[in-house]
Amino acid sequence: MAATAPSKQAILNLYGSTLRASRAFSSYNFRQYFVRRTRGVFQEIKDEKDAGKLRAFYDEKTKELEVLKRSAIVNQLYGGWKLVVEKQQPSRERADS
Amino acid sequence: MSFLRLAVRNIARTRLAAPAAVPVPRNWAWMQAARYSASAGLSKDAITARVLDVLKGFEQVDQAKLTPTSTFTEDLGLDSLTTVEVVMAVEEEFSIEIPDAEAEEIQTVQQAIDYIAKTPEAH
Repeated sequence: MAATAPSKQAILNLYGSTLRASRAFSSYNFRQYFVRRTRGVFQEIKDEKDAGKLRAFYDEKTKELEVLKRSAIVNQLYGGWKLVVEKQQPSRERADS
Repeated sequence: MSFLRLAVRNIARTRLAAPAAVPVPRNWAWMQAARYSASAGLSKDAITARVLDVLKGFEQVDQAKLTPTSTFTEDLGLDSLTTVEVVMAVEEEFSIEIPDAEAEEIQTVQQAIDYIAKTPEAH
């Protein structure tokens, strides 16, 4: 049975959703890692023409996206302080001090 | 004597208890539906400046050709994956979420600006 390749738009939508899920991580290290990994993985497959490989890639990444979404939620529950390298919230000072 | 006092008091009380006529404004229905917190809205110039700032952050973007009218793929030399990333970055900048179907449509800087302009939640 010949596998049908997912459309280009479907892959792009998957890319967008995966990036969005990666950005939802609350800890800096996980967030940066998953964004970087998503970029790398999708750039590699960019010029792939083989329908079977594309289908396998698409199915695998769709499953991974679900895992990623769940992990991001768990990570948000246990998010710690922001690291010094991150953009901090503007500090507020008391007017009377 | 006390009976008289009681009677007088009762009369006074019934008079006070009578509902005071509250004038109902004619546009009552409108007043209930009205929202008094109007959004300030973003000016077109502010949106343009911020969208261009987002695009300046991408190293793949051809900075010399960056104008509000340029298209992502042809003028700025972005591939389709980076175009998705640009749209995501714009989402993040204006704290909105663009649905996939509409994100596909955004292929030029101007379209991104127009989308933000017609989205009231953008800020």
